[in-house]
Amino acid sequence: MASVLAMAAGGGAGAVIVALPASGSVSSAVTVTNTTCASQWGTASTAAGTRTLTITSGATVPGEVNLDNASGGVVAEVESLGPGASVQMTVTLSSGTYQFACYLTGQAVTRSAPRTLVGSSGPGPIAVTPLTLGQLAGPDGQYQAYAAGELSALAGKVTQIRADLSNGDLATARSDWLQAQMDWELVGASYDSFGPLGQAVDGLPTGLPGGASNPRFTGLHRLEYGLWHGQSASSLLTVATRLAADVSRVQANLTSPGLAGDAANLPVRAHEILEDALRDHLSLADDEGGGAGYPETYADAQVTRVVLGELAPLIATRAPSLVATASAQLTALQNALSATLDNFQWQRPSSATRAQRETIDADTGAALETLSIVPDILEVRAGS
Amino acid sequence: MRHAKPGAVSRRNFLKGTATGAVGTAAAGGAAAAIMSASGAASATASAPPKGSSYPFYGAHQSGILTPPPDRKQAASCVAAFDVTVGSRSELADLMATLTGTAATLTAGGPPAYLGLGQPPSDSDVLGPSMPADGLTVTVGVGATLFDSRFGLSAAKPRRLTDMPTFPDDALEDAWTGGDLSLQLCAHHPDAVHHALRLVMKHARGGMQLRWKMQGYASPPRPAGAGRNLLGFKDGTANPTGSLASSLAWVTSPAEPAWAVGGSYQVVRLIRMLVEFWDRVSITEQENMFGRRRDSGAPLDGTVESDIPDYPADPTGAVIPLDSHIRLANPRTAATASQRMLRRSYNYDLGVDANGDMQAGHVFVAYQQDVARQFATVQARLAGEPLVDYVQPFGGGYFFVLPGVKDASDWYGKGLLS
Repeated sequence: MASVLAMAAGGGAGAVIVALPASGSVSSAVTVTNTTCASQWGTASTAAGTRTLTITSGATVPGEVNLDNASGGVVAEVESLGPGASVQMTVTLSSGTYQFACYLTGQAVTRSAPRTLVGSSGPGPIAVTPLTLGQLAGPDGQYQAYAAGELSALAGKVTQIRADLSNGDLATARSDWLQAQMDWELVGASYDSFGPLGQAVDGLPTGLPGGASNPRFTGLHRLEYGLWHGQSASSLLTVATRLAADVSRVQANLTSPGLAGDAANLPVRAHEILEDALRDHLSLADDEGGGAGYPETYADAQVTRVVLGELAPLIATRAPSLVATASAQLTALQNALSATLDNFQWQRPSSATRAQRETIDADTGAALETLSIVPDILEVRAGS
Repeated sequence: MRHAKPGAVSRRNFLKGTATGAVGTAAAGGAAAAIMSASGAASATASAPPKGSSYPFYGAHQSGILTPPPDRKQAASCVAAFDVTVGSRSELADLMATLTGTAATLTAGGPPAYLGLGQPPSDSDVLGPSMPADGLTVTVGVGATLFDSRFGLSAAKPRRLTDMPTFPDDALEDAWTGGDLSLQLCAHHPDAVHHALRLVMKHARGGMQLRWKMQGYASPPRPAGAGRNLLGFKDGTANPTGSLASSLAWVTSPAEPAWAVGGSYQVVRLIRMLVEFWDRVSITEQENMFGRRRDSGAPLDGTVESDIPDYPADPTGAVIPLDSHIRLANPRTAATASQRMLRRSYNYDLGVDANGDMQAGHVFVAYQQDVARQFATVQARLAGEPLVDYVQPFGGGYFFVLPGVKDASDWYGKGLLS
């Protein structure tokens, strides 16, 4: 997501933002310099509506240029404007007052004069209320505490699997594997968001020459592969022992920035845990034999709910109905998944009916369209 | 206009049962010869096709790489990989001669031969009775597996030709990967691509079997410049052109087997694009992953598509992130200049994934004189780039595009197999 540019005092050159009328819309051209911000924007009131902004840099350093509304909400941004570059963007602005804010590397923040747009042109896009990293610290702390609990549950289940394998009880090991895999899903470490340590626990043979037979394939899916491909309990005990150590490493490093320690990642988690379910579980891409795409997705919906709850106060002021909408969609998804249970047992996705599968996919897609907004409205931007 | 292979006198397995399949054999009379004489290059030249309606078949290099060049490539394509099923080197030579004859016929265009009532028609008529060339190019390559023990060719293998390795972000599926032969067909319209593949396979039926194929389509300029890929970004903006392209594409090294000079290493990558997920990502994040603006194609430090990114002025990646695709792929340093390659890629659309998503993506095709120095080096640099969450390479292969067919007495791989 957006990088935060270092701001410091300094003199120097500038960038330019221009707005010129194009066919069917109004255009404005403005320039940004090291010390001035869109001075051409002016103050004369003008018509609201769709407008093409040409923002040109006359600065010697790169920077970010935002167009803010009267309450400081960001309605448009050029996240990186290089020295001398010119960027066009077409934006729809409703009536109100707008001001450019320029954040140039190593320069003091500068702002244009506010300009009022008048007339009814329908509602414009929703402005994004700025957010600081500090505001995410509390929610991320909650998430870390939650994830630590799920990791403990996972560690306990891996211990159980090792006992199963020591006893040569592969049937129990298979059912305990499913519980362990769901515990891991509930941690919410999707999309390699826990880095190589997470990969060791939940990696796929993807990218490994020889695939599942590659010795670098480790973790829960390696265990799954062996349990459903006739491998012996003794050979899998080695895998499970390695897994226990890898889970411990994740626990020990949970709060480091490469795992759950970067609070800026929490809003992304709210969206991408469920993307992971779609990409890897519902596509069957990560099915190494266990056929557990549905319970895995169920757990992903559950942890998404948890993360949304942690972020709910920050979301509520920016998109008041989002949490309720997403919650209802996640409930629908979990209900659709539960409808495939047979005698309280999860079934392989291949045994679901077409109608069941299409309902699950539809509910997943609908929830994702809603959740995809969370990282955008909770992005930590320049100047925040 | 016959593609004679000296000594080819017996009917091969791959010709059995296909009377029209004998086009490439010296001993074949009758029907086969009739096809060639009716539709060979000479007659096509005489009919003076409109500009761009056909491309040369004969030359030092095969067409379909720099003829036409990537920025003027045909709108439709298919990459197909085959495993050869012949049992001997001489049968392999016959197969290549057959391929040569069919390709010469197809790329020249012209009415197919009338074979009489005693057999099915010589052509499918998918392109109608006049069988236009439609800008068809046929580009034939060989995979590393062709140089295994079957044909005694191991000593003649191009120096850099291997199976395509599994790169760190790959999810290669055997059904979509590798092959003894590659066939790139490009034409102005998809029906001509289909028609060509169908006729090639008809003539070579017993000698090679289709392993996988992927059709592709090029996007026209929207609104100008390089065509867009299915992630909405312009693709191919920085492709080398002119003499630079030639110097990067063709094998010239004396370290390579003599027969290989004039060929080119072909890399095909079938890359699924997770377009639904991509469409749920903010524009800023999308642009930072590529390093270009989506609308204009300009590098993030520039104004227009053709602007050259100034990395020395942006050492920390404040404007163009250090892990953006364009910056990793082409750092624009003296040391990486020789790693550039020629990309000639297309979009593809297939069916539906198990999760209800569209199957769509990118048929990445690159040409270079040294696959280790060029593609493999760049791909290693791209490992783990942020874009990998949204794309999944699942197939393709490394192939060596044979040198061009020089004239009517030459055939694909003559220098290798003679």
